[in-house]
Amino acid sequence: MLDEISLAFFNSTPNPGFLVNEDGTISLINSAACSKLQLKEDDTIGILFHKLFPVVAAQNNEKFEAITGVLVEKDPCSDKLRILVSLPGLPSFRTQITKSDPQICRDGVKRSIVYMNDHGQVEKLKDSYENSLTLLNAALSAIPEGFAIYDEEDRLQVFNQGYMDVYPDSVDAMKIGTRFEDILKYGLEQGQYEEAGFTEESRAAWLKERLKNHFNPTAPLVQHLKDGRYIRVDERVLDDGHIVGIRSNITELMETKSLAESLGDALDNIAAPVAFIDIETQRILYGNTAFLNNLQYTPDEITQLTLMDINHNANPEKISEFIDKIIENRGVVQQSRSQHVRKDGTVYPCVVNSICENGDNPKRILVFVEDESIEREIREELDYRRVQQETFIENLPVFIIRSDLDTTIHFANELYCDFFGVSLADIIGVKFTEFIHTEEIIQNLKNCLASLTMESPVRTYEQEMLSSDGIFRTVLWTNRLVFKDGEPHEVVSVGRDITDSKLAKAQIEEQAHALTLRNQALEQFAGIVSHDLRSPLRHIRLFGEMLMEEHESGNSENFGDYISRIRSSILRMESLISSLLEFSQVAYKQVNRSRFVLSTAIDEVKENLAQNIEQSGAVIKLQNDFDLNLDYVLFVRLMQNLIDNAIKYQKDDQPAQIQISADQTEKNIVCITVADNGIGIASEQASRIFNVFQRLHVDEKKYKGTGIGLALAKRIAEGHNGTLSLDTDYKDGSKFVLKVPI
Amino acid sequence: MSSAIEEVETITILFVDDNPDEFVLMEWLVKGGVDQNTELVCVTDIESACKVLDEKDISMILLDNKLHLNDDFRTSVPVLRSKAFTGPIGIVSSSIEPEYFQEFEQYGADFRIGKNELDRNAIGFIIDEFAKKDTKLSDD
Repeated sequence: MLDEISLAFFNSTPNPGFLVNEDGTISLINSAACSKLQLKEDDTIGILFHKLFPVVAAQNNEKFEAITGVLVEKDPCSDKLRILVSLPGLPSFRTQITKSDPQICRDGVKRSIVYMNDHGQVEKLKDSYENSLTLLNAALSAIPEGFAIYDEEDRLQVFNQGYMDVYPDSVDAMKIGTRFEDILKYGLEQGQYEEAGFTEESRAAWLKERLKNHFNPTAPLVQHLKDGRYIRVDERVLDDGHIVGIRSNITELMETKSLAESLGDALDNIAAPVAFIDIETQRILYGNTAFLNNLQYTPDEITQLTLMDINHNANPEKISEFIDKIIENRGVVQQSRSQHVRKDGTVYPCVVNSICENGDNPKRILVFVEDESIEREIREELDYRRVQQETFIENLPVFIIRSDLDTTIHFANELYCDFFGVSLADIIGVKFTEFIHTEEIIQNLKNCLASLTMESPVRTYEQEMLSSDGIFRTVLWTNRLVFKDGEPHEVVSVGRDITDSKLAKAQIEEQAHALTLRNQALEQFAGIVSHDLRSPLRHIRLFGEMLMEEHESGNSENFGDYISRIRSSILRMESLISSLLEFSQVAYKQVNRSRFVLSTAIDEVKENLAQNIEQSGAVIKLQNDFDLNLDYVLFVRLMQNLIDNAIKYQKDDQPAQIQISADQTEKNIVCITVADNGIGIASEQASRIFNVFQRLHVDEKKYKGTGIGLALAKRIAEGHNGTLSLDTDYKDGSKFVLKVPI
Repeated sequence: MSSAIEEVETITILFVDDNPDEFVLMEWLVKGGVDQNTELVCVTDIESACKVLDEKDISMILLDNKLHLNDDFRTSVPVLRSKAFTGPIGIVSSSIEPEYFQEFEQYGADFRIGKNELDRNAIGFIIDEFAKKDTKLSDD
């Protein structure tokens, strides 16, 4: 059938081979078919090939050619036929066959040679590949991320549903074999990549950058699509040039991150130090500005630190225990005291408030730090000020009391306690009205407190207080009603001992009074000089001129009269000048008080006026004695003038009967009266008689004097802050009333 | 236009002062300082002055400011005016410095003068100025 060469080749090929007739019957098998398929030539020849090896999809009644032709047409991917080999004693397998065109053999019969390409290994591999591919597709379709593989020529080879879901606008361009760049361009035209912008330039730039990253991926990139989604692209170039890419939708993550960033901004604006701690590693994940400033680290530096790094002398076990406690009590703030170490090594005390995030698997702890060093500084400063204030209050020269509304004392300073000679413990809880000894003052105090209102919360008044040493002191009290929540809460009373200042004030007033008197005296003196002294001078001048005229006219008839008048004027002047001198020397002499009894002064007056008393026959009677505290010299002068006045203006037929008496009519005031039985003084003249040079009786022959005695007596009384007046009700003569403080 | 003056025969001046020496001096001044006939009536107190006013036709009163029983002209002038005296009253005083002298017109006085200013010329001027108030002026 075959020539020798062809037969030799047929038998020497390693693949099983069959010589098949046009009707499909086998006319010869080669050695490989016998050995590998364990076929026997005798059992095989004459058997239909497709009966022995069923051709896939072949019909039983079809001829071999037809069957192979149909199959060839039905398999566009391959021009090879495939058969199922299923022989007894051998594992069945599929294999490709190669069929030659029919050739006329030497016996004139047309036959085709059919070779099996292998004996099942290739198909096995192919099946395995197909199975793997099916499995891969199933697996890819099961994952939500977009998955795609591009070959070394950047053509799409594999992709899943997730890939299409990620880029819905590019689905139409996603076909096996399409280049990545074309898919991108299609997506750009659809406006899918919002981050690429809307101009040609921006899109070209984006495309360039995207392709660069696609071919040389260094890090995952995040795309922002037009529908608002964020897509993370992780690509990797394999050794054979394939590019594998996974697209993940990280929109929620990005939104969470954005929220976290916002939270970070908010936390940065919080003055208190705040930090997030990773539970597992105890690493600081985040610290706000205050936290960083306290510890002197930068944001990058702080995230490299753990709790051990920032806690001074930290015990890792204790830290872990504390973290466990925080986790166990998640949602509840746990407080601890610690000492944080700054970057420069300094340490500061702090209170750490920690709270664990909720959830089944918490990862972070939120930490609020209170820097106690500042609080301590403030506390120390407050303590210092409190001590300073207390010292200040204790050393203030004023009484300070804080009391309830019913005057129950709950604070009093040392000065107040000392004043009453009691201890602070004895005073606390006692009503301060108990320290007041008169009902009138208590009532005044109660009225004062009752008058305090929110509109007028302060009242000031003077109060006489009896100190522990038995001396009355004048205290100026200022009561202030203190309100709390709009309601009267307590009374704060501040008292100042003004006894000394009152005395000083009284002295000043006395001095001012004396000064006023001196000024008045000066004015009066000026008036006297201008009036009373100028008048006799003028008389002397005019009478002198008259004398001159008389003399020039040779008339001396009135000489004696004029000279007599000139002489009277001169005498008058001398008398006035002497009186003025006396007045100015005595009336405003500084008052030097001393203690003496009235009788002593009267005795000296009697001695001074002894001649007058003897000549007039006057009788001076002191009705009662009295202890006095006055200027002795001035008082003697005063009484002397009054008694002299009584003697001077006695009635013609009656020697003066002068009655002197003393009595304390008011507190600290003595009243001394000098009464006589003389000619008396009309009541309408009562005020005039004390003026300097005022004389009620012009007849100097009978009533001598310049009219200065009573004026001088009055000035002396005023110098002692007293008064001298005429008792106008007294009708039996004159009665002078002297009232002076003793 | 021309005028004719008809002179009053005698000018009567009432002088009130508590110091009799002043009478002697005033008579001397008037006598030497006034040409026409003058009569000086001197009294020491207001009561006496009032009596004179009842009895005589007084051309002018010269009143001492400080009379013995009265404080000053503020009380004495009204007393004199109460006697229906409408003629000039002049206050003479050792001192006219006190402020109340600025209000002399308010109390009914017409002028004031210090005693040290009084001389014959001053007296002549005062009489010409005040005591001749009743001189008649007639048109031609």
